Amino acid sequence: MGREVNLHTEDMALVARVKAGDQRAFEQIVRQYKPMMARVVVGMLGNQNDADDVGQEAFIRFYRSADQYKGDAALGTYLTRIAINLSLNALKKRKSRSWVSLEEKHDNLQSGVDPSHRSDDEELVRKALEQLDPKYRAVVVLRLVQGYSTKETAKILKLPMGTVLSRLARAQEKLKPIIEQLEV
Amino acid sequence: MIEQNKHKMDNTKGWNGFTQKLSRFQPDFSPEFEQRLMQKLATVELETLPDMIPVFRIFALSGVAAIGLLMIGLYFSNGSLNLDSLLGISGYTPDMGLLSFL
Repeated sequence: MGREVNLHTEDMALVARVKAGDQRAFEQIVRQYKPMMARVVVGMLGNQNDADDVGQEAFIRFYRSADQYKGDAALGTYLTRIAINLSLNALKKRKSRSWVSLEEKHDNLQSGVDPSHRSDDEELVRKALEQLDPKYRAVVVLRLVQGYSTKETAKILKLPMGTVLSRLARAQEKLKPIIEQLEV
Repeated sequence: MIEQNKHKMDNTKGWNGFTQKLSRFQPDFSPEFEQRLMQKLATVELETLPDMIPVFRIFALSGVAAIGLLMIGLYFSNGSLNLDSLLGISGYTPDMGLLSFL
């Protein structure tokens, strides 16, 4: 609890410096929250190039609207909310663009992280999450990857707690056969 | 012992195993992530800092207002808004113009 308060105070000081135009403070926030943002965005999008773009966009959105951050929620939660909304938008765009050009596929292969360097577990998680509907995926990523409580997840997604619980149950139902198939 | 091992193995598979894998899921962005982010940020700052659109709008609107006032003034002083009154020669006849040259 005390550690959380300290972290929040430190974050507030960093945000105040960002508001004053201190780019180093922003870089510090990026370094600090990059792993957390990667879990959210990669969990949601799977694709490395899209994840990088959305992750960068999320940090830029925060930088541009730092004045609006009043410290009501933890900075991590605030950034997660931005990242999850941008990821859901990116998935909508991807759906409407229903085809992927050869050039894009080539770009994905050329992306910074070589898929062969990923662990089997990471690959399995990515593949399983990719097969879930975005609305279920968002709940799984927040609740089971990020470890947010049901209440926090509901707050981030602006959904009633009952909806979060039912989506989680539905996601579990859908994931079980997918996991069985992938683990064979 | 065998039963315990079997139980342990089972825990790494299925839903329980998957939730453990989810909690250990630690992907990362590409190595150039931060560098690219800072480049994008520099572009964003360049785009937003010299925001001249509001200044341009003020000048444009005051210009349009001045033209409007001028037209109204011309209409009331000359009684119409024909080309002569716009050019400021509505009171002149061609002869008078010729005389002024001589």
